Amino acid sequence: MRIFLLCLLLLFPAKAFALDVAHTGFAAIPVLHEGRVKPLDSFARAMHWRITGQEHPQGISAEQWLAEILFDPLAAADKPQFAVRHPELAALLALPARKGSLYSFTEISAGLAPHINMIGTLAQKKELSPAQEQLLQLQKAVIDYTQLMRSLSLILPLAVTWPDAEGDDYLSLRKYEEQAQKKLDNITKVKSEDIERYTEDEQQIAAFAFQLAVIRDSAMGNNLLRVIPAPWQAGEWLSPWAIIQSGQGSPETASMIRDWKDMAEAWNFDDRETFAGAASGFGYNTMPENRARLEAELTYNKYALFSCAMIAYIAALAFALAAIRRPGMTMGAVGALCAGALAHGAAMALRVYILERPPVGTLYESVLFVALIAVITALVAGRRNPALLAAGAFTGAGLLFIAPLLIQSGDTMPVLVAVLNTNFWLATHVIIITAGYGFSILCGLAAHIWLAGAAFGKPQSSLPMHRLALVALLFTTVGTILGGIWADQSWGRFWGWDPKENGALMIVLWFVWAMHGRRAARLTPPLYAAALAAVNIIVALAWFGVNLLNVGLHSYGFTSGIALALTAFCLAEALLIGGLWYKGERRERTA
Amino acid sequence: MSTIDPPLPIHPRPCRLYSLQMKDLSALIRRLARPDIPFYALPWLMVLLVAGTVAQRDMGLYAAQANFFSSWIAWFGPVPAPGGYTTIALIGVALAAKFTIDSKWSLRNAGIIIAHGGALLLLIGGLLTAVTAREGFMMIAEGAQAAIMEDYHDKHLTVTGADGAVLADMPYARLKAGTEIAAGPLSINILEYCHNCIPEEQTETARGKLAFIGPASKIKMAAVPSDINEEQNHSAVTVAIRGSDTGQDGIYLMSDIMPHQPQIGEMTVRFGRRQSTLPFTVMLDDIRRELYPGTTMARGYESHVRVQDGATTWPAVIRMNEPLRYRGYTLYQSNYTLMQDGTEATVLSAVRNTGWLFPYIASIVIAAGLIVHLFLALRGRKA
Repeated sequence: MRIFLLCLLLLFPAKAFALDVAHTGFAAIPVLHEGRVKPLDSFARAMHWRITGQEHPQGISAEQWLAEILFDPLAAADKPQFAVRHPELAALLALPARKGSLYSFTEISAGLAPHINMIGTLAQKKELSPAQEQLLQLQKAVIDYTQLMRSLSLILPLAVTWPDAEGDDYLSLRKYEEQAQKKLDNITKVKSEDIERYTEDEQQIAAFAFQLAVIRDSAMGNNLLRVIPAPWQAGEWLSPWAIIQSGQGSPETASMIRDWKDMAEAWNFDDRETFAGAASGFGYNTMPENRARLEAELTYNKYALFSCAMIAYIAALAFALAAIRRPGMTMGAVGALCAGALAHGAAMALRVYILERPPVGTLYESVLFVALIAVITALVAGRRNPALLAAGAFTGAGLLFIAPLLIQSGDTMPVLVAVLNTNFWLATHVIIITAGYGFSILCGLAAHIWLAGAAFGKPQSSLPMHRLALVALLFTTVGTILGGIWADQSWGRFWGWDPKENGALMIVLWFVWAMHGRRAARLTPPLYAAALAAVNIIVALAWFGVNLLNVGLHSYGFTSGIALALTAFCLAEALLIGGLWYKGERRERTA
Repeated sequence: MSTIDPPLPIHPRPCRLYSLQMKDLSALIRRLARPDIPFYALPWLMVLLVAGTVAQRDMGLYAAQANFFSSWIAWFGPVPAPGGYTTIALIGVALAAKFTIDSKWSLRNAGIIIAHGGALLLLIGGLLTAVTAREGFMMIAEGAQAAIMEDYHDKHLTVTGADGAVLADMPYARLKAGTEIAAGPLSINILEYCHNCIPEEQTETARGKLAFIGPASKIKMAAVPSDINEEQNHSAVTVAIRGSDTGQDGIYLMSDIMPHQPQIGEMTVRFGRRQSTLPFTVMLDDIRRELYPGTTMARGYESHVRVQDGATTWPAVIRMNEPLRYRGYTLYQSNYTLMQDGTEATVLSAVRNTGWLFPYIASIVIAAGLIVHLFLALRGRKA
């Protein structure tokens, strides 16, 4: 496999004229983005996700992708980056049909230009067709891309110049702008704006004044690349343009911008050493106090620990399934699960360290945490039961596969809205209720195993299904009540029948009902197992379904586009549980 | 000679009645304690939960809650069914019955009994809250003070006299076009009202002998479809006032977002959210909004207030997730807003709830019960 990949790379070598920024310290430059100071590497990943919808650029690193846009915007404008897959949208933008449906910035912006007014009205509307939604997304991506391309337009070399001027960029030439404008005013007084009548010198003056004005105006509000700590305002970081335009410059910021100029020049001369010197020097000078956190984040980005864990879980699943027939393989499953849980736990611990808060604050993080809980529970409760180990491995791998689909903004570590910004409740209510989800899922799967055992004549007597149900009930009940207490602390009411609250209550009531049915002997053991198995449906609906409603105070966890998957899951589960139960009942009767 | 009816036998019957009642009661309690009630009531509660949750998408939380949860009868379209109150009350009564007379008091059941006691506590707290809780909000600008909280939903038309005595009080739900309200010498006739209104230009100047006075002379309110967020609905009422001895008879317009309150002689007519007075005063020194750097996203809000009760005044800070509790009231940081003149203002939720402590205790009791039960279940297995 490795060799095959190597051959592929040799067949299509990367183009040689972009400087390779790997290991230059570029990735470690701190940048303020979406409320948090993060390494440029994380910024590049988030921007790539937002602009292209893809997690990783093809063939290059995210930092390389970003560097090429920042330092060589002309080339970046012609690179096919934007996917337009919807045929209706492609027709609207008059884009030629193309394999892969990728288009360049130049093509897309030319296509968007005639529709700017229409897009403006779309943004006000609530109900949009898929094509319209993609159009809005595309426009946002183009705006982000434009901002990135212009981020350094103040220090990149210009095609125009001024007699006897030192430097070739906007920053060095802008002091001549006034002079040029005065001269141009004199020229237009005599010759009006008819450029045909200008001498060559006069044409150069006009071109100079015009280009400087264009660069200045087009950079208004360019404040995406916030790499300069604002000298007068603690905690506020600004982009190079914002520093210049807001007049907040100081000798320090001037030297910082000079570092970027050095990087740009080194880029032009393909001088990796100078580039590395400037990049790491700049990174060092602007590094905030929490340096170790930024480095931890680089490490977190570098080793895709969740992918490692997922691979280990898949291996564990294979071992555990094999161990159902050959018990000797059980240790293999336990080992692989442990290895996966270790990588998984390490990644979660890194996130806790980087974000300085408990591990669960977003929907994405809740999926990561539930997966870990399910795996650990399977290890504890089923170390001698290969089927339960398989259930744990399956949950771990499946949830880790789903998790990236729930990322909302490209950065998997967004800052939290004010009401969630409380470590106490994140550490208690959220942890307990998500752990409850984890126990519930594993209990549901244990019930599946019980039903399958009954259906195929291999009764599972040692399955800790009921005890798992008790643990799940304990955690979901306490978690739900703690949620009510949190709501009482922050909104002034213990219970408000909000969808998220109702979802959590559903799980509790379902368990309570099943247990009362069991105790009162109204549910036969197979029916009790079927009821516990169906908990998975309730958990899925409470966890993801209520977000689809998009109402209530809890709607910060909004997810889109999962309605269909959720419906399919619930139907499939209902059929599976019903089928297993029916088969088990028939076997019981015939026996 | 008239016949005299024989005296009625007094003694035996009440005795029999009494014994019958005792027997019936205990039979009833035993019936209520049977496990089939929760077995059918719980699924019904889940049906209500699902229906009430899904319905929020179309009818909003307030209306869905009123129909499915805070109701004795829930309407599924035209079909009536037991509502949330009925179902939870039934479960609560069954739980209490089971708990009081039919529990199998043994160590093996200890966890289950404790957990059920906790659930009972939770329901009692819920009952207390449902009966006693009053919630509203107070908006205070920086430098200003307030001792009045306004209800979120409950709107009233009130008439108060010179001494503040309430002469008439009509809830919004009972308003009807043509209704006459007598308040002292005044006769107030409801002409029009709307639940959610937008202002339009007034085209009339007078109706019959009565002139349009105040805001009514410039605007009229037109009904628009209600917003599913009840807080977004702005109601208004147009009334004809007659019988004033100050020559102020006329047609007045009042809305819950307009500060206009017609003064008729010494009487004040007001339409708006129901107000109640707190037993203390809150002064806002400063509202602070902290943003995540480089964004417009709030990291937190905090109100620096001074609380004045009688002659004593002391400072306090109300933050998100950190309310202020005083004299049965709890004040929460709810919102941040700018007044029309640009002054910053805080919006505090104010809640008076005697049952607030119950969930705290109940959660501990339920958790303890479940842990004991789990422990016993594990031990029983190993033994």
